[in-house]
Amino acid sequence: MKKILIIEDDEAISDALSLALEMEGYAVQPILKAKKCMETIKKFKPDLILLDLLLSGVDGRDVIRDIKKHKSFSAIPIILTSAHPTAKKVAKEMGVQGFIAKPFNLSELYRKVAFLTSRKKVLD
Amino acid sequence: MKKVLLPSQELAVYDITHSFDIENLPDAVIAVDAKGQILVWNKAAERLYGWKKSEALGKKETELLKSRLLNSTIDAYRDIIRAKGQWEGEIVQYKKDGTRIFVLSSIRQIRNSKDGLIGTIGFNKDITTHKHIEYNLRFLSGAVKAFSSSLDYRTTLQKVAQLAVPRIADWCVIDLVKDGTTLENIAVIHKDPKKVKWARLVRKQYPSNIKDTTSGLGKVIQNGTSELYSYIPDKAIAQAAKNPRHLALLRKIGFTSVIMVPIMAHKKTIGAITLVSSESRRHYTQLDLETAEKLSSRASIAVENSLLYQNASHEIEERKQIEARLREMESRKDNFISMASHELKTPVTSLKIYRDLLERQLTEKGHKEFSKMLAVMENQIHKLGTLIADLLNISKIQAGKLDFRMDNFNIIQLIKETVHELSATTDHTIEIKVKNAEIIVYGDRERLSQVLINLITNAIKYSPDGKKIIIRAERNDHDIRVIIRDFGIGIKKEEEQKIFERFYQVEKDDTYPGLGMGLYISQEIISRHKGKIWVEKARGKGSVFIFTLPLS
Repeated sequence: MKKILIIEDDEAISDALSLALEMEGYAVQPILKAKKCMETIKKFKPDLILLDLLLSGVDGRDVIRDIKKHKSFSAIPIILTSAHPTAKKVAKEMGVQGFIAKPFNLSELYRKVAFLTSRKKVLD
Repeated sequence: MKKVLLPSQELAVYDITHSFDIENLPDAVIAVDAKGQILVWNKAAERLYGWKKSEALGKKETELLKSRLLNSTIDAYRDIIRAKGQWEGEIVQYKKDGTRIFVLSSIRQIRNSKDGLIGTIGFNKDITTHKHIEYNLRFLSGAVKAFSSSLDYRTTLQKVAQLAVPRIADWCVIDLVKDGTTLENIAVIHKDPKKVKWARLVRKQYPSNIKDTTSGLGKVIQNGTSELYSYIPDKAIAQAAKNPRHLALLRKIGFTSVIMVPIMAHKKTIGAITLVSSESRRHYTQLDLETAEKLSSRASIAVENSLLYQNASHEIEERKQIEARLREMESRKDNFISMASHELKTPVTSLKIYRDLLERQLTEKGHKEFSKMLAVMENQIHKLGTLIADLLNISKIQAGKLDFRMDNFNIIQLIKETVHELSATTDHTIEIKVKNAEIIVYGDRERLSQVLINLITNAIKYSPDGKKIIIRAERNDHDIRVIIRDFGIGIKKEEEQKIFERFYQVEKDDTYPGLGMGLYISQEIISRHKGKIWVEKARGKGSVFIFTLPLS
């Protein structure tokens, strides 16, 4: 079973994402705060990370940098999610594997998650 | 004491008095010996100086008349008279009553063959009036320059007061009325700074009562008329004094003559200029009053201009502050909209995930009866998303941060896609009439799609009874045009421009609700593409919206 870490500070979205991905057969670990994210990654060893760009108090970019710095984690694909229109540019700059603008269609989420967990290949 | 003349002098005097008809000459004729003692004093001299012949003869002329050269030094005078035997120039003298006069004097040496130089004879013409006119004019022209040099009337009035002393007055005082009751002193000028300090103290201790309209400043300010006191008898000073100490102080100034003129602005007296002649013993005349009035009218204009300028600059300053405040509020509002639209997207995101999940679950389990509800939900969530995006776009336009991703693409293809998408949500038939299969434009595909959606949804919204919408796209020699025609309620002529304004709504009632964002955003997008957008009345029913894009 593929494991997905969800870093999302809005509880309603986090719950919805967790439910949607669990129903699709993924093992999900949601965290609402970015603080403990490295610890969680070590323990949970996700196959994919869904990351909200604008976490309260923490910039999603710092989280990405921390993950990329870590040798054993740097290969974990990341999908950046954001309601912010400039986030797509940030995603490109930070070299993450995927981007989904909020609000999104569930099918779009499923498609991107399935693609990245099965092939672990860099998406454009 | 009768002066005993030397025989040679006597002869000279006899010669002089008999060679011309000196006694009856219109000029004052004064002859002095080598020591400066008066030998000859004619009738005109008596009239001019007020001294009788019997009083003058034998006196030293320079002491009796306090003569002083006006534009020359005594050394220059001596050099000239020694070299040429004669001198002509202006001198200042004082009459018996102390009045200062200006005199044009023509002086010649008296010689005889026996004794050589005996003395001098002078022919003196009174030029006081001319001189005063000259000073008045010179002062006025200086004052006019001062008035035009500054817009701050305090500075200007101080400068004018300085110009007045000593040219036309020994003292110049300028006061302005403050709060309608008290006087604010703008200038007190005298050539001696010590005296100025002292005069200020006196004024502070004994302020003028501007409510007293019987005389002085009060009269001038309350009535708005000038006052001329050519001669000031001691009696008048005694009357004006408030107590013996005050009287002593006033006497110390030694008033000779006073002029007071009002300064007017907007037909109201706002102050006064006071000219005082004291130690110069000048007695002001009607002529001087006219000069002072000219001065005050110039001063009035200067003060009025300055007040207008101050009001204007005050208004400008106020307006600037209001504008800054408005800008701040505007930017705060745009910030708020930007934050709000982001915040609004968050619940829409989870709402949409749950809706999608429900649809999947229900479809999987074969509950087809819910599919219509889910479609409505989807539609409404989409609408909500569009509204939020529009809000964000508006705040971006206001902040000048609406960005574009430009590329070449086929606008016919875009029109077809957009119409296909929208057709699913409406009963209207949307017809596309194009000649070309391909028209390439250079632009932001997503933003232009937004314009098409806005225009087509508007066409649907405002033609509830019309069943058809026609879209044309064409390329001519100048530009690319997209035309959207509906058969709806149409747009009033006077609203054709307004509908593109931010938050403008066509109908005040709730028949056609909307936030007035779509056309504003569309116009911004088109104008950023260097195109134009407008509306025309359709032949028959409805409206025609047209936008152009430059040829790529």
